Amino acid sequence: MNEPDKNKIDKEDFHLNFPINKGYIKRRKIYNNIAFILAVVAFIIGGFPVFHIVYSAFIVGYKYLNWHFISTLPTGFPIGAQGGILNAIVGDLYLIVIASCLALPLGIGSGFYLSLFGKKGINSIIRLLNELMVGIPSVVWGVMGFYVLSTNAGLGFHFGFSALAGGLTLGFIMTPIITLLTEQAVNRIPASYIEGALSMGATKWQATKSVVVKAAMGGIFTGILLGVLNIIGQTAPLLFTNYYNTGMPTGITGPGGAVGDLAMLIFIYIHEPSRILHYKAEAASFVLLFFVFALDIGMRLITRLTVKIFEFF
Amino acid sequence: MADNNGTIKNDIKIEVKNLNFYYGNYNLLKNINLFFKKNSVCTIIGPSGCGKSTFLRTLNRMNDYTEDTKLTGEVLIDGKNIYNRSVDVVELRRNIGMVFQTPNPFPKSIFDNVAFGLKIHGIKNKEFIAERVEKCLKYAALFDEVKDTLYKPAFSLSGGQQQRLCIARAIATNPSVLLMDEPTAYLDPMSTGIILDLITSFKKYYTVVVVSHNIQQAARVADYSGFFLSGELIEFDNAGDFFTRPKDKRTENYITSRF
Amino acid sequence: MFNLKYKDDFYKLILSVFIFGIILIFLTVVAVMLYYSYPAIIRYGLPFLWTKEWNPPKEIFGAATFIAGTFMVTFLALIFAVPLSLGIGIFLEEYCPAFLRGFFTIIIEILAGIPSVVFGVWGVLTIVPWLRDSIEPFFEKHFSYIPFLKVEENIGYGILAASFVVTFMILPIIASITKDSLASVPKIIKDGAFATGATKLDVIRDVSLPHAYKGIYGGIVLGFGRAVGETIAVVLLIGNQAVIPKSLFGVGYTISAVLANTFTFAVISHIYASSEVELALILLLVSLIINLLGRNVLKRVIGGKFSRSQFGGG
Repeated sequence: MNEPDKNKIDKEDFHLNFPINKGYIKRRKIYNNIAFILAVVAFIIGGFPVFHIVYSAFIVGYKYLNWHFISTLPTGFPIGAQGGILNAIVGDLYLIVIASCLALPLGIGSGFYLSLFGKKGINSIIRLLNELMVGIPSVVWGVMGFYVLSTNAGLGFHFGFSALAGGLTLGFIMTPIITLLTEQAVNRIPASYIEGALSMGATKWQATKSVVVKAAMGGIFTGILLGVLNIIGQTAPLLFTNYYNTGMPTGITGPGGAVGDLAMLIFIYIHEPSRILHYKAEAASFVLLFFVFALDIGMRLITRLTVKIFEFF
Repeated sequence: MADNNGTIKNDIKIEVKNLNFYYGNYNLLKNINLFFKKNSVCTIIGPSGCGKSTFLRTLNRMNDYTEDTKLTGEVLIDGKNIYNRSVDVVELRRNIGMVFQTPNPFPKSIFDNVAFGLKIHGIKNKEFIAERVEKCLKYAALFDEVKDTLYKPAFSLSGGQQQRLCIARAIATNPSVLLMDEPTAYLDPMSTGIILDLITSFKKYYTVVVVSHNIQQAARVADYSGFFLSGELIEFDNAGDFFTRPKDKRTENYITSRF
Repeated sequence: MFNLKYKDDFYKLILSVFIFGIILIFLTVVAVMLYYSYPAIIRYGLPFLWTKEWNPPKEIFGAATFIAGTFMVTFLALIFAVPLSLGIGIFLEEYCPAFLRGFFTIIIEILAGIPSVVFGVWGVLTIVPWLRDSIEPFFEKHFSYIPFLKVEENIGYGILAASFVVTFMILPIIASITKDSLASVPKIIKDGAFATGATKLDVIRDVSLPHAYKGIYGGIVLGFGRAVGETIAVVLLIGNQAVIPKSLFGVGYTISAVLANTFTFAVISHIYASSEVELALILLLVSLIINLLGRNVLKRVIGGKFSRSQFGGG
């Protein structure tokens, strides 16, 4: 080879001829620190409302936070000026129970189906439907609940504004959450557990009873708590299906079937011009936050103690 | 030998003194003492889990970002302890290139991968960068294969090409030390051969430390070699003696059972 | 009595009923919206989307005002939430010391569980007075010549108040998806950058974000979906006047707010109700499209995993 190889480089030059930008190296550290500070500030701004919401609810409402507030029905004028929020707490229980009656069998059953009998096609379709349903705005569920369950005219079940209509609407919201988490929980069971049971001649039903339910229990409970957490904060769907009741329900359908609800109570009280109702709304917010945080923490504890169904919990 | 001591001292690039490394309470590296000479290739061999990769990472402070670790002892590069508080890690790592077990190009174009080091060290002159990138790729014997696809994503390259790209990236910032953590572990024999040749050609300008569990490959490139076993440095010697007449029984067992 | 095969078939049959229930719920919600909005769709056609007047007594219905209000609130909320969430995600994944990461993540995730109505009350009693007494007077004094920042009525309620609160409602979802996407960047690639001498900022900017941007984009899309449908907090804060706001400080109305406020009155008139259901149909379609987009992207980046924040708190 006589002509110089184009791929040869002058290595001496390569190693000697390299500029070092000392000033930039120093400045870069400053940029890095600025980025760090900005990230911390973003976190503080993001975390601030958590504390401020709890703080402001407490500081305004603390004088009402006693047993009397929890255990009596609202009275006085405007209604709620005296008395407490018992109607809302009882109503929430009604709604949770009714919603669970729909959502638990549907959600857990579907979750089992998907992980025990599912095939790729049906699983991805059902999973997609569930994920889409999680994203549907709650006010749309309310409109749906109104036409299917509440309205007394036209098609539908004609339950009226009642606990049953409200609870089932909340059940629609809860179902996809429980399905998704049950499926996730059963999928996290090591395949050998279920296969072990099946190879000994057990049917899938027996395997479900003896292995699946036990192993997926933590995940399923997480799903239930997350579902309940989601529905106790809902207001919009109840506007069109249950609305509100200042007293105790006399049934679960038709006239007298409506129940109180914490979120609705807060929503109604904050619309009133009366200061005292605003304070009570804050006190009730504090109670609602207490339940929400308790469910959230309970959910995390269960996850910690049993199956890790969320990677990112 | 005695009167040569002074010159030997000057020849030393990296000196490790009483190095202990803890992960939690576990003593991962136990009292390591050794030195690497300028412009030589040193290989570190040993079974997996013996701490050889961890040792390599202590040489450029890569363990800084690992939580729950503690280090005692000294690592001197050009006579300066890199664990001194005053040491600028950024400048330290500019001076020490590192190549990893799996090729790890950035999610960028081939050109930007090599230019990355230049840009983050504040070099803005576009012509210089273009020229330097070309030289690095030539140095790493990759330029011919990628000269028409410089602006394509680096992930489009084959494994061997990606690894050479990572070498080009490592030398772009003009380091004087190259650390290689099993650079051929996941490569086919062809690419392995190219990279071993590259390592030999680096000797003239770099101090190269290669961690390997392939004894044949280690013997092929090494000037010096060391054997790690469960966190201890068993033996460190020049390659000729190390691979043919090991002093320690354990080294001999390891080498012979694998040869 | 039964052989094994038969028993399992029976079990499968029962479980398929539940699957069918889920499909039924989904189909019902779509069918109800289509069925009840049909009269309005036929009568007003596409111009429904850009007619500004909403006049029930005259039976003139157009959604433009509400669509404008909805998208203004949503976009403002995104403008606030995206940089904040990126900062939070980056902080949690890259800068936060490991022993605090879990606790700090919970703080952000717990934001996702706070009920909408509680956010609304907080907005009414905290954000609105703050805007009214501090922010609006300040802008009135110094920036009133900028039309978009003109303070028309110094009341605190309006687009800005609503979007402030919505910001905090969508922030956890974008932040935790950002965090999860950043966590999915292979460590070895980051190591490669650190070994070149990169600072954390360099690694985030040049390696992590380019690697994770698709997931972050998915998170933003899901946040958008959440913001569009947000109802109760917005009802309490936006001012509820059917005008297209000309300024950040103006009042307005969103699709969800008009539904919440007037749907129960609307059902007395056939076409009024039908128009309102058409509004709900718009929300439904937007949410379906948005979630379809967002979840597809997310599936590719962080797999089929969920984060707590993807499930709201009402």
